[in-house]
Order: sequence, then structure tokens, then C-alpha cells
Amino acid sequence: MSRVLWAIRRELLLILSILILSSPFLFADGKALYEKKCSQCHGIEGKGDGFAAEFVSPKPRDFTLGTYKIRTTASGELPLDKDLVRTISQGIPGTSMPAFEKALSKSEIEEMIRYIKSLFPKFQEAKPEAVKIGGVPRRSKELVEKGKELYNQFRCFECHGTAGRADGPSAPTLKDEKGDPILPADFTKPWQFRGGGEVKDIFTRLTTGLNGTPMPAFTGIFPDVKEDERSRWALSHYIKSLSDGHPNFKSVIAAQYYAGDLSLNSSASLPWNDAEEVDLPLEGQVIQEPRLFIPAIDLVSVAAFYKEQELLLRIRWNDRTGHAQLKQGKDSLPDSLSLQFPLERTAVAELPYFLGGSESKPVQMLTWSSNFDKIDKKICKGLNALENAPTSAEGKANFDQGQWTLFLHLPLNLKEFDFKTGEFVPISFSAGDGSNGEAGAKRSVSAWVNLVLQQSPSKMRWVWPSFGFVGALGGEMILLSLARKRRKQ
Amino acid sequence: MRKYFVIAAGLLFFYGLNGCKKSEKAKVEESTTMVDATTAATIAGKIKFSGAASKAKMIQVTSDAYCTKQHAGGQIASEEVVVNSNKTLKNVLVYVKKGLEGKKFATIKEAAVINQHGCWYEPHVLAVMVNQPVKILNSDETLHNIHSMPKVNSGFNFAQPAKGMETTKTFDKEEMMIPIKCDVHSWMGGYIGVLSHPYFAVTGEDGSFALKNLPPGEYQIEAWHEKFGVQSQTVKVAEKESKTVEFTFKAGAM
Repeated sequence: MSRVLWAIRRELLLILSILILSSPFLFADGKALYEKKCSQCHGIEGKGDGFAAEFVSPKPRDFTLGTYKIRTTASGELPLDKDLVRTISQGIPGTSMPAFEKALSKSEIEEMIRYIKSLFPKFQEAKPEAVKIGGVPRRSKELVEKGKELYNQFRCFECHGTAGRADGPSAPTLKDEKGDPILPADFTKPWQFRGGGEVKDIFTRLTTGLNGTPMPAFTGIFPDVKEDERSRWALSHYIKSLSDGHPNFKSVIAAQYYAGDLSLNSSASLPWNDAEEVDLPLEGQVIQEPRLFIPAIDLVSVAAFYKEQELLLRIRWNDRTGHAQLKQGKDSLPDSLSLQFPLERTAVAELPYFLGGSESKPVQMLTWSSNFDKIDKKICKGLNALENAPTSAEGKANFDQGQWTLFLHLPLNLKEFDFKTGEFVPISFSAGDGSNGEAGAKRSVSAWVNLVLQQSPSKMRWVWPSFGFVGALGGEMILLSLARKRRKQ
Repeated sequence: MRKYFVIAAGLLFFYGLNGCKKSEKAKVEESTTMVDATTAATIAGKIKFSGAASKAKMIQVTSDAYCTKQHAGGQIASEEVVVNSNKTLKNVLVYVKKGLEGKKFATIKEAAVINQHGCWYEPHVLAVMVNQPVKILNSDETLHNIHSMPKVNSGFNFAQPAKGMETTKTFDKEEMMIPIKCDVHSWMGGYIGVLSHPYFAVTGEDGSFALKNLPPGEYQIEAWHEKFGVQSQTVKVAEKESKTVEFTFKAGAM
């Protein structure tokens, strides 16, 4: 008996001494991992001042401050380990923080978290608790309506704007915990919500707030806890509803046939709900000087109608500061939108260089600017070789509630725009936000996509099936009556 | 085998007992210091301001129509530096910095109030005791978020979207000073000082302060101003003594 015990004791001692001796290495593991994978942005000391920090927005987290946006704990509290695991594994949408799920093992992520927590001593004593989050109530028209009411009652628009496009009157003054400017969330783009875009995620953020940012917790507003919770669910459903049908990321913009008036004057009153609106992501142009690392415009949404000799494009994009351009008029750097087509269209596979083409494959670029009522056209052999050219294209834009809407009218009967029905026409977009100092090559750009004038559907498509249906029905009636007659006999 | 169990149980018992003893000790320490009113002393005085008093900075309120309406011309006078008509300074926190070590004082139960009124904090500078309730009121028909940014205490940031809302918070650690702000209205800012004793005062319109009911002794008195920084003086008070102390902040020390 005692011999067994001694053996066990010896083994335990051995294991213990190995653990004690190797503990510095165990801890060093998290640190080494951090230095390898995180320090580029978050800095060697975790102060959010790595060499890449100046090129990203929002700025990397300063781990020495202990403020974490994405948590399941109450406002002002530290996050749970689970929250940190989620952030590291899945990344933070709409920011430079990537997902490490595939790059690191579960235990490596845990080691890393242990190290990150050691950078803020309060983690040792803190015992944060998760807030209670019940099941997601099903969306209903009433709930969304209620949410809309609360959106106004809670004055979410002060920062997030009336239409949720992040252009509220307080938006330009917002600062994070380090005093750097910070943008409110654009509710029409939930795929960029930092903590996820599902209704439950939105509810969680409303419940916990985002530490280190201006976003407060919307809890305790109604004395009744149940009512308080219901108000947040309603609000969450309403916020989610602001992006219904989006994002519709596609690489083909299908222009629908429309026989009516396609002139600019009637452009706003066309049945745009029937046209498919395609969302195209834009990225900052970082290939040639002057480069744009932090673009203000990251999405354009395009829909189009055409008829025999006309094409009308509707291009919409959110711009938090478009009203500034309207007010300051011609003195300020304008907002602008460009689209380009290859000058010569050959096989689809041979696309010109996406930044303004090249010597051998030029593009034609049409540009609308907020300070100029005509559409400007350039023949480009690269972004530095621009040549003025006449154009028959016309444009008209208006700005409303954080969004520009540009109608662009192209006559199709000219050599300039000789697009044929069913043909894939390469097209790409770029945008510049004057308030963000964007001009010239310093703008955000899309990849090449295609514009297609869809075959106008034949009117006979309703006729033949109708004939068929009536014929079949008639035939059956005859058979039925024949059968009845026979039974009577 | 049994021997080991006995040892283990004994160890557990020993640690358990020790733990109990500790918590009992803590309880004893928590009992508060009683100040003998018959021997208590007072330190009082004024916070003077020397130099040319520039006019208060005016803040133009534009982003919220409700706030603009609450002030003539949509302008609010900044409270960063307020020089009173008698050449004293408002919003200076005067408190005992040293000399009360080892003493415990009963928490003030009465709530201190921060009123959000006219899109402005009333008061601009507040001092409370550790764990003293702080009632945060919204008297405005607009959204305020009250955002505290402490370094020692836990922070909070919650919304009060309706008039008449009130929330009570406490701070469980001593901290000088905790900035508070409203992110919706970027001009709204204030400070809360959290102290472990009740010997503090914030100067008002006459720039005076009084620290009453002090046990006789030697104290370091500190005066804090958000722009002019801190000044301190050592003051000795005997039984029943009332001493007058003056601090002078100078313009240009900003």
C-alpha cells in the first residue's frame, strides 16, 4: 500500500517540477505568438502603436487600456475570455482585424489571450459576468414598426442619422477613448457591424454598449425589465430591416428594358423597385501615388433601365459628409463618381488595367463631380495619361440623408456607347469623397464587372402558356361531360 | 493512507480557520472613525485668482436643435475657467490629501446629483465619497449618454433618451479625477472626484470652501482645478481651531 503511495507521490512531484520548470516557456509562448501575429498593428508593448497602425481605421486596440468594444458583459466591464476568443477567431468585420481561426489553434488562441490579458492588470481581480440574452423574438411588422418608433424616441439619429446612414448631426464630433475621431455604424451595412450583423448581435451591442467608443448601453430605460428588453429587440429588428435585400454582391448589372421616358427629368420617378440593384464593394486605391488607405466610400449600388437608344443608370452611395459639399459649393474639394468602359471592346477576357487602362488598352472614363453640372470625359491610358474628350452622356445627382443618388443618361445610338442587347460590357466604378481629401487617383475603386442590356422579354410569353392552359381546361371539361353522359346512359 | 487524509483535512481546516480570521479582522478595520464634535477643527478659505480674467469661452451649440433653443443665441459659456466677480475661482475641488491615513469614515448616504440640464452638466465638478450614491438625472427632452472614463474604477456609458430619467451609480475606489462626457453633445464635459473621506468642497460663486468637523491634526490640503492643475499646503489645526487658508491660481498658468 505505502509503496504504491510513494510511487504516486514521486510521479506527482515529477510532474509538478516539470510544470514549474517549464512555466516560463508556457507563458513565453503567448508572448511569442503575440509578437509574431499581433504586434504589427497592436505594437510590441500592446499600446496599439504598431508600424501598420497609421494605415488602418479604426485604430488597433490599445491593450494597456483594457477597453474592449465587443463583449457580452455590462457597460464598462472587461470582456469574458469567450468574447476575446470570438474576436480573435472571427476577426472584426469592417476593420483591419482579420480572423485567426484558420491560422491559429484553439490552444494558441488561449495562450495569446492569456498574454493580452496580462497587459492590463485589472483582469486579474475582475470577475466580469455575461449579460442575460434571451431567445430572439421572431420578426414581425409590428415589431419593426415599434423599433422605428423607438429609433426616433431614443434619438439614435443624433449619431446614426435619420435613415441610419451614419450621418447624424453629432457624428462628426465623435471621439474614441484616445481622442481619435470615430465613426458611428452605418445601419444600412450590417455586414460591417463590428460585433456581427445578426439581430442577436445588434441586441447584444445595445445591451452592453461599445466600451471606449461613444456608443452607450441602452439599458434601464424602461423601469420594467421585460419592457426594457422588448424595446431593444424591436430596435434590433428595425436596425436589421434597414438593410433588407442587401448586400446584393454580383458581378453583372442587368439593365431592364423600360419602354417609357428615360430622360433625366423623369429619372427619379421610374419604377426603380423593379430593377435589380447590385452592390459593388470599393477599396482604397493603394497602388500608385497619391494613395488612399482609409477610404470614405466603400460601396456603390447600381441599377439600370434601357430602351432602344438610351441607357439610364442609377448609382447610389452613402457619404457621411455629402451635405458639406453642397454647402461649401465650388470652393471645396468636390465629391465625385467615375465609371469606365474599355475604349475598344474585344473579348471579355482581355480587360484593360483596372486603374484607368494602359497605353495598349485605354479606357473611356466618365466623371460626375458635385461642383460641375456636366459629365466630364477622359480617354485614359493609365491614371496619369488623361486626355479630354467630348461626350453625349448627361448626369444629375442629388444628396439626401447621407446618400448621393446619381442618374447617368447615355445615348446608345452613337459610336461612343454602342452597347448591344445581350452583350457583356465591362464597367467599373470609382468614387472620391472631397471631405476626406479624396481627389484624382486618391479615390476608392471597384473591380471590373459587367453591364448587360437584358433581352426585352417577348410579349408573346404570356400568350402561348395562356392558350395552353385554356386548351387543357377545355379538353378536360369535354372529357368530364362525356364521362357523365356515358354514366347516365 | 488514513494518515494522509488526516493531514490533508488538518491543512484544510487550518487554511479555512485562517481565512475566517482574516475576514473578522477586516470587519474590525471597517468600523468607522468617530470624530469628537467638541474638539473638531475647521479649515476654510478662498480660492483666489490673480491676473486678468479673460471672458469665458463661448460654446456654439449647433448639432441638436433642442439644446440650441435652451440658450440665448445657441451659446453656452464654458466652465473650464470661471472667475467670479470677487476675483475668486469657481469649480475648484479642495480636499484633504494627507493626514487622515488609517481612519475610516462612514459613507455619505445622501445621493450626490449630476443634473443634465440645458445640455449641460450641473455641477461641472462634483466630489463624492467612495460608494456614495451618485444620482444622474436627465432634465432635457433629448438623448444624453453619460460616459465616465475612470482609470481605477469601472467605467460606464449608458443612454438616457428621455426627460425625467434617473440612474444611480457608485464608485467603489478612490480616484482623482474621473472625466465624464456626453458623446452626443461634444461640448458637455465634467469631472467627478472620489474620496475615501468626507473632507472635500467644491468652490461656487464666491470661491470659498470649508472643511468642517476635522479631527485635530496636520493635513495636506490640495486644491484641484481642471486647467490650472493642483496646489497644496500643509495646515495644522489644534482642537476646536478654525484656520483660514488661501490658494491663488494665476492666469497664464494654463
